Amino acid sequence: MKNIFLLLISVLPFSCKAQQEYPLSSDQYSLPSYSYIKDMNNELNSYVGTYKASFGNKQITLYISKEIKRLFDYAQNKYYKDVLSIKYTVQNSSGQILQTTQNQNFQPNQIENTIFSSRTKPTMGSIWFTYGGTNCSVGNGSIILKKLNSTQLSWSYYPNDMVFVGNQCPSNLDITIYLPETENLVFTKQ
Amino acid sequence: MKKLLLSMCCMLLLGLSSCREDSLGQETTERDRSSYFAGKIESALKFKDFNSYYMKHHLSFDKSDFATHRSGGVTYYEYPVKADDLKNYELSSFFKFIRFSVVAYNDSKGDFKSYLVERCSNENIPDKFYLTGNFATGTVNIYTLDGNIQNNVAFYNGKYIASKDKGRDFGFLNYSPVLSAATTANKEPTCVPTEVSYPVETYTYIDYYKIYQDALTGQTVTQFMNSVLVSRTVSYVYTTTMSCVSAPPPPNSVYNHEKEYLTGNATGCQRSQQQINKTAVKNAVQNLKNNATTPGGGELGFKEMNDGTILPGDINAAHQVTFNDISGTQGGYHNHTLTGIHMFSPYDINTLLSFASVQTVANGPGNAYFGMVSSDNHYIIRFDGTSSDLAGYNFTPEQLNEWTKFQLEQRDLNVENSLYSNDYLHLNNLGLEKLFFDTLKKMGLENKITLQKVDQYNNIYTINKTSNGSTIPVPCF
Repeated sequence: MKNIFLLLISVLPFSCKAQQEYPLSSDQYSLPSYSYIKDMNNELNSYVGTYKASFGNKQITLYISKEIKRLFDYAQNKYYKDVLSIKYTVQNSSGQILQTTQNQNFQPNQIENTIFSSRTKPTMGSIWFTYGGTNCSVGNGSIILKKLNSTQLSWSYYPNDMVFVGNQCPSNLDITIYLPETENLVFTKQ
Repeated sequence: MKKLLLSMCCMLLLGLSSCREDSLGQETTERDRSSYFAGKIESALKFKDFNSYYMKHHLSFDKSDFATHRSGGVTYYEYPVKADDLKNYELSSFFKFIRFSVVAYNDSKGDFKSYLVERCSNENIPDKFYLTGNFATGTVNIYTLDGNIQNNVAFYNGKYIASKDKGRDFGFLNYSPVLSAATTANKEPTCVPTEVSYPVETYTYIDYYKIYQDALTGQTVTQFMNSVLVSRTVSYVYTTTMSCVSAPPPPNSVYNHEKEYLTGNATGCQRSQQQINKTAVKNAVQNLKNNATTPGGGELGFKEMNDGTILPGDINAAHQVTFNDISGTQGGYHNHTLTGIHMFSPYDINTLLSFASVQTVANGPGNAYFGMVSSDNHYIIRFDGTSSDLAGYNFTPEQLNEWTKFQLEQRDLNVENSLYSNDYLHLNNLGLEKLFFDTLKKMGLENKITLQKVDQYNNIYTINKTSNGSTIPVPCF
């Protein structure tokens, strides 16, 4: 009994450290590993839902969900965070699916195809997301969603630019960016 | 007597008529010869998108207007040339001090020659506007029609001072007005005893040579690459004059050309100066700059081969450039679009390492460079490590993606800091440079890569990180 008590006493500090919580405004790169960045003020909730918009003969559907205490497990950075995750479907004018991530199950170390909230900007009424890009990370960049009202939000997408050498990106992969590269595209909640 | 007078009048009229015919004949000949030269110029015209030392010009050629000059037994035909798109240039107001023309002639051997002449006054123009040298009153720059500079001629109060290449002085230019607006006031010297001073300017150039072994003959070849102005000193000769007409200043400006061989020991500054001042590279970079400012212009890239040839990226897409094969290259460039972060990404940094890995043993990995131009920035990165360092950097896509995510998230964080952002949406230069150094650290490349910034006048600065997280640009000279 005494031994069990001693064991509990010795484990407790580590257990407490793993449960350390930080607000969404924290920089996960300056926190101890496995810190928990929590949506303490429920800033993310109002964005959850399914939204649709049309852009250039394409129909885009966003599936925005809130993931509580999602584990991000990268080689150099490991943390838990409450995030918004955007999955999407892009269809052409005849309804054919050009690209979808709707049913993908993102792994803790996955970056490509993921869209996770990065920063909340309450004073600007917006949330910034990081998009990991499509195949070979092409199209990775920032997406800003701004809440217009209870049923509408605006979408702005700023893709970055990539350089590959040799066969870094196999030529048989589809690296077309299907997400709408535009600013202030209005999505309506379904 | 009347008959005599009549015959004298007739003779006089005939004489006048004869003179007029001679005159008309001469004009016709000049026009014919002008048409001949204009046609030759048009066929050789390659300066439609002409890059001078400090900015790009889109030039058009007016063949209907010409002047002739006779000098040294040669007749020169000179045509005005207009810069069409000055409104696009930040420094357009300075163009009242600049005038272009094209000069054509047959040399003493009868060979056709043609040059673009750029007359400049440097009155009221900031020193740094002139990268070719800040002469006392003005310069005439002589270019071939494809934009390669051949000569600089210096003027002082409209008088010839010195020339870099006396073989291409064109005597008639010596007394041409530099430009009216800026220099008219200087053309009437005061008629009082006065001490006047004339500048004696010394220009020191480094001539860069490339040494390589010819693959066919096996012989060591020394090839001239480029000449870069590295310093200018000015001293003055004082003399007293009583004349209303100033004596021409002594032709005592000096041009020193020092040879420098680019080997593994050349500094990053020297290498970048040599690389970006090559006409082919400058033109290619300008093309990228134009593309970077065009909404939806996409991403373009080019690589520079060891022989100086510029080749475009094999794939140039909306947000992606691919170089299939970089063997035999010195480096390359690409543009970032309006939507992207205007700083090197982890994939860009990895591309520099790829360029570094294909350098010759003689040049070393430090010879490699990778440039990035955006709508508002022009940066170059160079590898500072050794070949053995290089072998340790084999990054996986997973690593590069993790660092890319890091860079995006740090950007999102840093725009909230007024030190790094002026609008809370985009990073300013300090923010971009901090982001670069933070990314380097994350990649384990701290102090292994040099960041250089190139300003609009092609001056290069090494960007150094300070202990408090700020950056300092150190001029390359």
